[in-house]
Amino acid sequence: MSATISQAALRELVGGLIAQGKRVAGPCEVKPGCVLYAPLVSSAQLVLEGFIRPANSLKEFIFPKHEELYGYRITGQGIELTEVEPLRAEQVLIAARPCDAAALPILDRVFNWDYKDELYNSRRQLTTIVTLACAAHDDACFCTSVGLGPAAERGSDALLLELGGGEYEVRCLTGKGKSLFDGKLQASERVASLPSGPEKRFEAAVVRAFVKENLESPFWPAQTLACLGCGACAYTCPTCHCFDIVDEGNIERGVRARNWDSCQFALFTLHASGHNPRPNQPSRQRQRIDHKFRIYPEKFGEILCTGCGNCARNCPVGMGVLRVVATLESSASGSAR
Amino acid sequence: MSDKPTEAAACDRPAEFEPKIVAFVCNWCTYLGADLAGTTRLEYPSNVRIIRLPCTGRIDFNLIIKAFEIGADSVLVSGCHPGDCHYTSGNYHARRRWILFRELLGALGFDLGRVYFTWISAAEGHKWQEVVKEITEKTRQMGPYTSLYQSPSAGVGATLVVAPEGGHKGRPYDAGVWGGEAELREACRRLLEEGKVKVVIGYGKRGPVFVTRPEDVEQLVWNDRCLANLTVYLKRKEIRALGRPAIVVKGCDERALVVLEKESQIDRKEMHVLGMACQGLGEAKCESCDVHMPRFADEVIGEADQHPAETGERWKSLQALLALPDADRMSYWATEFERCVKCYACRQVCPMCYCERCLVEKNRPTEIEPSATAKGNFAWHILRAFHLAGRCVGCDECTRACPAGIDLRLLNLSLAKAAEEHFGYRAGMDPKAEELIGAYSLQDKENFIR
Amino acid sequence: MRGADTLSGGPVTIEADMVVLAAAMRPADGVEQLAQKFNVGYDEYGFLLESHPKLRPVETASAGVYICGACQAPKDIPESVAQASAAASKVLITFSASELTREPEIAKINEDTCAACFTCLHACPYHAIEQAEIRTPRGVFVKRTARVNPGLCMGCGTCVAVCPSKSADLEGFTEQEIYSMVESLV
Repeated sequence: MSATISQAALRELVGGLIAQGKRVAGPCEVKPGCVLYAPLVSSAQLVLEGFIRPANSLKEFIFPKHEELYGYRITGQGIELTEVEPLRAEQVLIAARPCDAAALPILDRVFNWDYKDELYNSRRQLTTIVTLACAAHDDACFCTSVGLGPAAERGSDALLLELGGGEYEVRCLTGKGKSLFDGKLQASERVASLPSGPEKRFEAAVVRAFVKENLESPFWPAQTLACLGCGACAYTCPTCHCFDIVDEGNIERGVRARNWDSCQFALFTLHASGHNPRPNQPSRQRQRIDHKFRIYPEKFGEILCTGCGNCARNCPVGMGVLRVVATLESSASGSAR
Repeated sequence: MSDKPTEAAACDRPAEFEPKIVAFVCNWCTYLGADLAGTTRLEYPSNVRIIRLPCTGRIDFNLIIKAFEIGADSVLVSGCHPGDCHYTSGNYHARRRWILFRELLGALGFDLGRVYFTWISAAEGHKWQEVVKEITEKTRQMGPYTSLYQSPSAGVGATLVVAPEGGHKGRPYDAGVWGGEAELREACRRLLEEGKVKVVIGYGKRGPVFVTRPEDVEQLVWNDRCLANLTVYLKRKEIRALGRPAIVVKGCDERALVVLEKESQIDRKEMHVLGMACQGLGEAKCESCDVHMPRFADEVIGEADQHPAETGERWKSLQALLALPDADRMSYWATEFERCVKCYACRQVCPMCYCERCLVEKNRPTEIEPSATAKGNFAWHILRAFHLAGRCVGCDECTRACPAGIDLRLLNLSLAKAAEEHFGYRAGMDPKAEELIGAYSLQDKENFIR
Repeated sequence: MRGADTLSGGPVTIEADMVVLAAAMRPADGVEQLAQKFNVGYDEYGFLLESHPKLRPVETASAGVYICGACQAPKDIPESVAQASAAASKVLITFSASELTREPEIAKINEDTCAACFTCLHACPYHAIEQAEIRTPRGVFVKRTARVNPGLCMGCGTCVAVCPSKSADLEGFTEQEIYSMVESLV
C-alpha cells in the first residue's frame, strides 16, 4: 500500500502554491539543453524528466549568492544601521534531487556550530523540500560513493518515486511533507521499485587517509594542472558554503553583504601583506579535497559532498572532485579502476 | 546659470521631473567653452553636472556606466575638436573607444538616445548652451531612466530566448576518433624524446592533459570533443614552470596566439605549436569558421577545407538579438544576468584575460561590484566584453564554460562586428595589423558626434 | 587709391603720398608633419598653437618645445625677433634651473599589478611610457612592466583609460577622485 499522485495533480498542487504567494522553485529549462533550479511563475515551467540533474544546486534558496546583512547611512549626526528584513515568505522546492536535499543537513552543522546563522536558519525553517528520486544517472554521478543513493531520504520532506504512466509514489517523511500533500494523495497498490544508482567509484575512507598522509605528495601538482581557478565547481556544489563579506556603497549609504566565494580563486587566501599560504592551483585543489573528505568529517562527522557530480559537469576542463578523487584513490590503493 | 523654478519652491504644484545630466568634459576645450558661456551670460539649464577631466582620452567607459548607475538620466561626453586636442591625440583615442562602446551599449539595450558625444571648443560658448538646452529638453521628454538593468517579472525571461542552440553539456566525452590522432601522438613522442619540448599541452580523454614523458603520449586524443582553447594555459605559472611547451591548437585557438604575442604575453619562439586541421566541432562558431587550417603553426597535422565564410554569416546569431526593441534587449540581458553567480569561469577560460589583478578585484574605488546583483553582473559583463574589443578571437569558451547558460558570445560578437565593420579589423588574423584599442585613425567615423 | 567702405556701403577714394601693402602669409609646406613629430598642435590653417594666447604665448602643448615667429601667426620682423627672444629666455630658464619642474598631473603605473600588455605604451601621445624589467637584487628576472617617464608625461590620462587592469592612474585625476566626484553628483 502506498500513496500516489499523478503528474497532472502534482502540477496543480504547484500552481496552487504559486497562487498562494509562496515562493516555488524547481527544475526549469532556461535554454535548450540547460536545466537549472529557478523560481517558477507557472507550473508549466517545471521540468520533470529528460535530464540528469539541474546544473546548479538548491543552496541558492537557503544560502543565496548575495545576501544583505545590514545597511548603513552616514548622516551629519553619525552612522545609522538599518536591519535587513529576513525572508518571511514560505518556499517550496519541488522535484529536487536527493543529492541536493541531503546537502542541507550537512550544511546545518557549519551554520550552527560556533555561531547560529539566523539568516540561514530562518530560510531553512520556511522551506519545504520535495525530492524526486533519480531514474537515471551519468558517469559524473557518484552519490553511492559518499553514502547516499538515488532515493536517499536525508534532508527531504517528501520523496517522489516514479511508478510509470505519469504517476508517482509519494513518501511523506516529515510533518512539513505531510501537510504539503494533505488531501492530495491517492491510495494505491503500486509500490515503486527503488532505482539502482551508479556503482561505487571510490572508498571515501581511503581518500581521507590519503589526504591526511600526503599533503606534500607530487600527486597534487601532477593531477591538478588543468584547473583554471574559477568558481564553477564551488558555486554549483550543493555543499560548498564559503563566503566573502563586502561593503558596497558610497559616502552616504551602503550595505554590508555576503557573497559566495571559492577556495579555487587565487585571491581566496591572499593576505594583505601579499603573502598567500596557498600560492598555486595544486595547493588550492588539495585544500578542496582535504576540506570535503577529511577536515569536515573530522569536525562534524559528515563528508562535505553528496556526489551530485555538478563539479565534474560544470568544470570547463572536465575536472571536478570525481576526477581527482578517483585517480587519487586508485593510485593510493594501487588498483586500476 | 538660469533660475529655473524648482519643484521645492511652489508647494501647491506637483513636482516636475528635472532631468539629471552628467557631463564629462575636457579641461582645455569644453570646460573653457562652458566657462565662456558663463562669463558671457549665456543662460543654460542647471540640470547639468560637470566633471572636469584633463582630456577626453581620460574617459573610460566605466565612468559613463557609473553615471547611469548613480541616477543620471542622460550622459554627455564632450571634448576638443579633432586636431585641436591639447594633448594632440587624446580625443582620437577617445573617439575610437566611443565608436565601439556605443555598439556594445546598443547590443545590451541601453537607450542610446541618452548618451551624447560632442566636440565643443573653448570658443564655442554658444554651442555649449545649445547642446545643454537640447539634451535637457529631450531628456525631460523621455522621462527618468527607470529601465536601467530592469528585468521583467521573475520567471518570464524564458520567452525572450533568442540565442541559437549549442547545448553540449551532457554529450558524452568519448566521441569518434578523427584522422590525425596517431600522427599527433607520434609528433609529440618525437618532440619529448628529442628534448625539444618539456611538456605537451594537449587534449586528453576527459579534458586538457600535460604530458611530460614520451610513453604518456597515448593520453593525447584528437576528436570532435576537443573543445577547450588550450592557449589559456600558456600564461598559468604552474604550466610555465614545467618548461618549454608544445601546444596543440585548432585554427580558432591559434588566433589567440597571435593576439597574445602582439600583447607581449608570449614569445612564439619559446614554444612549439602543433596546429590541427579541424573539420568542425558542431559549435555555433563552427558554422562560419574560415580557419579550419592553422596558419602559423610550427607543424600542421591533418587536412581540412579552408573555405572563407561570408562576413554576414558570422553575425547571424546576433541578428535575432538586434532585431529586438531596446527595452526588450535590456530585459533579455537582465534575465540572463540574473542567473550569473560571478563564478568567473568566463574569465578563467579566456586566454585574453591574463591580468594579474582583474579590475573586478580592485577597490578604492570599487569600479565593478563583485556581488551577483543586477548592477554587479551588468557592470562585470560590460567590462569584460569591452576589454575584449578587438582582442576576442571568438573561441566561445566563455559561453561553453558558463554554468548558468548565459550566451556571452553575443556580447563579444557585437564588438567583433563593430571592429570589422568600422575598422576592417579581426583579432588574431594578421600578426602585423595595428591593434584596435591604443591606435586610432584620422578617418574614424564621426557621424554620432555632434 | 580707390576702395569700398564696408560700413557705409559706398566707394571711397583716398589721395595718398605712399601706399603700404601687407602681403598675406601662410605656413610653410610640411608644417603639419613637423608639428606631429614634436607633438605640437596646429590650427586649421597650419599655424602652430601656443599653450595660452595671453599667459603662455611661446610655450606649446609639449613641454620643452617653444615656438616663435611666423610659424605661430603672421607677424613682422620686430615682432618675430621679440618673440624669439622670449622663447630663448624660456629655454634658458629651463636650463639654468638645477631641476626640471613639471606640472604634478603625471601618470603612474602600479608595477605589481601591471600585466605588461603595453597598450598604454602604444596609446601615449608623448611616447612617455617605456618597457621595463623588474629584477630581484641578485638580478633574477621577475616580470616586465610598463613605466612612465615623468619628464615626458603631460598628464592627459589616455593610458589610464586604455589600461585593462587600471594599473595606470593619473595623479590629480585618479580613479578614486573621479569616482568620488561622480558618486556625489546625483
